[in-house]
Parts: sequence; structure tokens; C-alpha cells
Amino acid sequence: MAELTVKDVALRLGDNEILKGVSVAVPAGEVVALLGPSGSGKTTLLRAIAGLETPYRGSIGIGDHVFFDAGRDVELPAEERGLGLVFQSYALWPHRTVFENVAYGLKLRGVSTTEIKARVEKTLAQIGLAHLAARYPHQLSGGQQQRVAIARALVYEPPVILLDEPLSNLDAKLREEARAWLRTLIVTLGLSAIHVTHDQVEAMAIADRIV
Amino acid sequence: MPIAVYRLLVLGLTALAVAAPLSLVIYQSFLTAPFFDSSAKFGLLAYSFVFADPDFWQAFWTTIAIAGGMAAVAVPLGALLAFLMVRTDVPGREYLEPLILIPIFVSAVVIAFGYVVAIGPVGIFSTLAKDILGFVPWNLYSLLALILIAGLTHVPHVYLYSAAALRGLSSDLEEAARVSGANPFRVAVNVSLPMILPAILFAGVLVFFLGFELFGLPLVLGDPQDVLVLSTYLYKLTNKLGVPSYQLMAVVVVVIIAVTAPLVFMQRLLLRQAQRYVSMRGKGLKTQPLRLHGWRWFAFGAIVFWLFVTVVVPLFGITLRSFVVTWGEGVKLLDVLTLDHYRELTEYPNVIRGIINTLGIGVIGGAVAVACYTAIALAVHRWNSGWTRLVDYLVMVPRAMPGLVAGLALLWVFLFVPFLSPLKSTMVSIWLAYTIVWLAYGMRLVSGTLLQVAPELEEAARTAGANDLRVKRDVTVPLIKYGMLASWLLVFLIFVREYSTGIYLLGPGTEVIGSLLVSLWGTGAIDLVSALSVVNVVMIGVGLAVAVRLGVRLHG
Repeated sequence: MAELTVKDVALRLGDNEILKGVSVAVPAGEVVALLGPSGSGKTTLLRAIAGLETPYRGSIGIGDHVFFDAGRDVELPAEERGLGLVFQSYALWPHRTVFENVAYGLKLRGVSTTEIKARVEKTLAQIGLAHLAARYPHQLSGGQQQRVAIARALVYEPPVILLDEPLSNLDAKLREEARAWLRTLIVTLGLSAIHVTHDQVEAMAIADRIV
Repeated sequence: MPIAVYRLLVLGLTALAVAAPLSLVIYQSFLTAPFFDSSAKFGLLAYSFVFADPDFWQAFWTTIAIAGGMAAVAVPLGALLAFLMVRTDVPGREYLEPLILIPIFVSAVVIAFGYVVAIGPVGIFSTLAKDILGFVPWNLYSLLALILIAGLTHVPHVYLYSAAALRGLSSDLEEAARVSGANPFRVAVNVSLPMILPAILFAGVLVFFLGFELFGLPLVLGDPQDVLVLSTYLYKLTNKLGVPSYQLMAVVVVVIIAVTAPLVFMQRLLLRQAQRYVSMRGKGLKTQPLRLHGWRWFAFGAIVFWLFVTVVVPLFGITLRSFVVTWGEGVKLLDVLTLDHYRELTEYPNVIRGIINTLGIGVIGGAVAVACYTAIALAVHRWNSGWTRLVDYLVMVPRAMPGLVAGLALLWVFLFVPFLSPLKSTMVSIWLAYTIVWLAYGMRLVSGTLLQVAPELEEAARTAGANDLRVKRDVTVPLIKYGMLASWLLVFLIFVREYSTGIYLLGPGTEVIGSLLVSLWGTGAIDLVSALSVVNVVMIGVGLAVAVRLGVRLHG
């Protein structure tokens, strides 16, 4: 897997200059933490990488695969970037069960029903929620919801997984556990990840590198 | 299908549906004869004819007087009612709330018929008053009575907007005035109501605007004394000359739209201002109801009296009338009771069709209309583009066309476009007219629901690999299902109530209860009219009961 590169990305929201030329590189298999105070544009950068915001300058891509290049007028829509994104609010679809939430990405990729079942079950087992597959999100605790959100982003094996303060909605004790668990999961699966946080301890515990 | 194609398709169709009737009317107004007449030439003849007609000017000024008068009645009463219901401890508020909204959902023609049979010259209450007092202390057929009734039946409109604004007001301001020695009435007039002035102003413009749309009340109550308003003038124009004088009708329509269009635009500006006013106040409001003490039952009595005059009198009147053979002085109720009028209803195939068609247009037509509104709302949902502004205005255009006018314009479209003609005498024409007339209302319902969908839920699907349309299908639409259901119920109520839009489209196969009522009233078949009115009220009552039961908010 190649390296995710963000070069000189600048972005405006309304009249606010949010990003003023940011560059980051995430080599394959590495976990990078974006650390900074609230309002410093970390989330915006993540959303720009995912394709949910459009910068006016700079380029984003993985290896030779260009997602966005203001100079060459290239912009791939979010659905064609194949990344995994975990939202701060988890954004689990309330009308779908845990299984259906996780399976959706595979269904979109035209995976056969039997294979979907196998892969979703495997992923749910990895996050320790295999027994809750038939539940709806509102029947889960905050920590369980967070795991489902991660499973949903992992199941189609994206080259990079983007995590937007995934631990901020958990209470202190749970957060510590989740931190260790998340680190182990990412390392065992050999993923690249960008992890946005404003918590220095969290950043150091999870990331190989902090920007 | 890429999203751009979908948007183009939906917006193109909407623009066509909105612009075609309007442009046809304007085009027709500049012709010297109906558009199907080969001798028609361009010219201002129709304008000079209409503007030279003293009846037209009479109708024009009467309309302004009625619209202004009803606003003068409805605005203070509606604002005061909202104050009592929202800010004070009037007894039984939760039971009064749905009752207050009844006049919005009952057809205006039914209310007008109800008044005629209840307090008309030989009405049920009039004969009662004559027995006791020796004379009838009111005259239903006067301009004043018309204004008063129009005003009283539009109190709920003012109530809705004032109540919404008052709910966002902190109660310590009122308590401060109370402590300083103001009685509840002074608190309302000096403190609470001035704070929500933008909302009240909006409601005032809305009621004035609705005054121009008034048709059922002036048709029924104004006719015996030859009081014409613009809409009834338009309606009578056909009979006046004996020939289809489309060009003259078109001129009247253009005049009506010339007045209503700026009013619609003004409402939009005012509403935005009023909402800003409300949203400026933060969260965590203290809303202790103001204690009225001795005034409690007085206020309760006042609300019940208003309900009695605007809801009970007409509905009781029309219901009783539908069960009696005749009514007049010296008639004993027990001697005249009958079910014949309902039996008679079944003897007229067009009435039976009308009842079935009305149910059909409400249930099926309502569902398809909500589907259309949803399709349009989805096309602009999360679309970051200047085109959404255009859609906003597009949707507002039909709002400026009162139902009667829109029905007429649609009729012309069906006559004008050859391949549409076969549809003219089917319910499709009625459905299209209704859907266009209520476009702004329906869009507001659906967009309100869409606003509640958190953007992350859609973004999560995007990153998972779903394109725009797929996101709408798999995430957005399932999430607004309940809201769509609620919208369907409200649209059902409105389609069942509607009477003016179907009048010009009325023919064999396109009967609906509303337009049948108007045409039957013209023939003087009061027995049939009262029975059919009750059928209509029952349909609406059932719909309302279901809505209240399901907890549907009765206003958008």
C-alpha cells in the first residue's frame, strides 16, 4: 500500500480561512495523530481527505491515485475514494441494525450475500460485538456504538482509516480501555490511520507519529 | 442516473408545472379573444374593458376592505389567544389546543353554509332569538358580518405564529411587569406581545393575503346582498356575458396575482426576520406560566365563547340542518327529524363519485403529492448551489395563485396543450391542480423533516462508497419516513377540505365534494348541501383524530 499525501491544502468555509496550506504524509502501516486545540481545523482536514469538503488549493492522494488536485482540476467524490471514516458522533444509521450498518459498505461494492455475512461476522468478532449483530444502534452503549462505527469503516478494508475524535464521547475510564484496544486493533490489522484528537495523552498512546 | 440528471429532471418538471399555467394566464390577458378563437389578436382591449367596469372597482375595494378588516379582527384576537394559551394557566389548555385549530381544517364553504342555516334570516339560532327577544339582533347578510366571520375564522392562523414566537420568550420579563403592578392583560399588551411583534406582523400580512384568497365566505354570505370580491367577481364573469370571456377572466387573475405576489414575497422576508428574532434567544428558558388567579375562568370563558361562535354555531347548524326536513319559525324539532337527505345523496351518481373521488384524492393523491414534494426537496437537499434559491422562489409562485385562479389556469393548460386534453376530464387534472396549489405548503412540511436528518449520517454513507442518489435512497428517505407519513396526513386533510381549486375543473368524472358543494349551493339544493357538508366534516374529523392520536404536529 502506498503513502497518503496531503500537499499544501488550503480551505475556506464561508469567510473563514480554516486551512492555510497543510501538508501531511502517512506512510503505509503507520498511525498518525493530528493533535491540536479545538477549532484548529483538524476535523476539516480529515473531511477534506475524505472528500466531504473541497479545498481551493493543494492536492490529496494515495500513491499515484490522485483524489484531489486544485491545479489539475481533479476532484474525486467521497464515495470513489474508498476510505474509512469514523465520525465523532459515530453517525450510525438508526434505521439499520448493527449488522446492516456494517454490511452497507460491502453491499455497495457488490459483494455476494454469503461473503457479506462472513466478512461482517468476522469484523464484528474482531471488535467483540458478534452477539449484538441484530440490535439497533439505540440499544447499544456509547462504547459499543463507537466499536460499530469503527467496524463499519474497517469492513471493506480501506487503505487508510480516518478517525475523528472517536474516543471523545466516552467517559474517562472507558476511553482508556478503548485507546489500548484501538491501538492493538490497528496494529494487528496493519492499517494506516489518521487519528484526530485534542488529547495529548490519547495521541501518544495511539499514534506512531504526531503532527 | 447521476445526481445532476435527477436534479435537472425534477427542477425542469417543477418549473414547467409552475410556469405553464402562469404564463398562459398572462398571455391570455393580452389577447382580444379566448386563445382558441382564431380571431384573437394581441391588444389591451381586455384590460380597458375590465378597468372600465364599475363592478370590478367595487369588487377590488371591497376585497381590500374585507382583507384589512379581517386582519384587524384576527390579529389582536389571535395574538391574545396565543398569550393566554402559551403564557398563562388558563384551565384545560391541552384540550383547547386541537379545538382552536379546527377552523383551519374545515372547508370555508362548509363554515359559510353553517352560518347561513344557523344565524341566517330564518336560521336555527335566529328563530330561537326571535322567540325569546321578539326580533333577530343580528344581520348575517351585511359587509360587517362578513368581515367579522372572516376575521374570527382566521384567528387560528395568527394564533399559530404568535404561539410559536411566544414559546421562545423568557418568563421573567412578564413576571417583572407583574410585580410592578400590571394585571395579566397589561402584561400581554405591554410586554409579551410587543416582544413578538415581528411574528405578529407576519401573521397580519398573512391574514391580509388570505383575505384576497377568500372565496367561499363571500360567495355564500355576500351574494344575497350583491357584495362582490375579486374572486367572486371572477366567478360571476362567466355568467355575466354569456360567452366564454377568457381574456377578461385572465385580466382579473393578473390583477389578483399582482396584489398577492408582492404579499407572498413580503411574507417571506417577514418570516425570516421573525425567525431570527426567536432564534436569538438562547436555551434554558424559564417558562413559568403566568398565574391569572381571578382572570382564569374569565379567560377560559372568552376562549370557549370564541370557539362557540366560530366552530360550534356553524358546525352545529349544518349538522342539525342535514337531519331536518325544513326549518323556520314555529317548527318543532321532533316533527321534522329525518335521514332522507343522506338517503338522497346516494341517489345522485355524481355525488357518490364526488365522495369517492374526494377520498381518492386525499389518500392516493395526497400520497403521490407528498412523493412529488419529497422528490423536489431531495433534489435541493444538501445541494451547495445558487440554484436552490431559484427553487425557493419557484415553489413560492403558486402560493400567489388562489385555488380558484390556479384551477382556472390549469383548465386552460389542459385546453391549450393538445396531448393533455384527454386528461382534463379525469382526476389527474384535479390532482395536478391541488398538488401545484399546495406546493409551497407541502415543501415546507417535507423540508422541515429533512432538516432533522443529521448531515453525518449521509456523509458516513458517502465515505462508505454510496453516490449521491444512493445516499438519498438508502439513508435520507428511510430516515424521514415518519415525517413523510405525517405530511401525508396533513396533505390528506387539506386535499379533502379543498373546494375552490376544483370549481373550474368540475365535470363528469372530476367531481370532488368541495366543488360539488359550491355548484349544488348555486342550485339551491340546501338539503343535499348540508348532508354532503357533514360527510366532508366527518372525513376531516376522522383525519384530524388520527393525526392527533399519532401525535402529528398540526402545523408545518
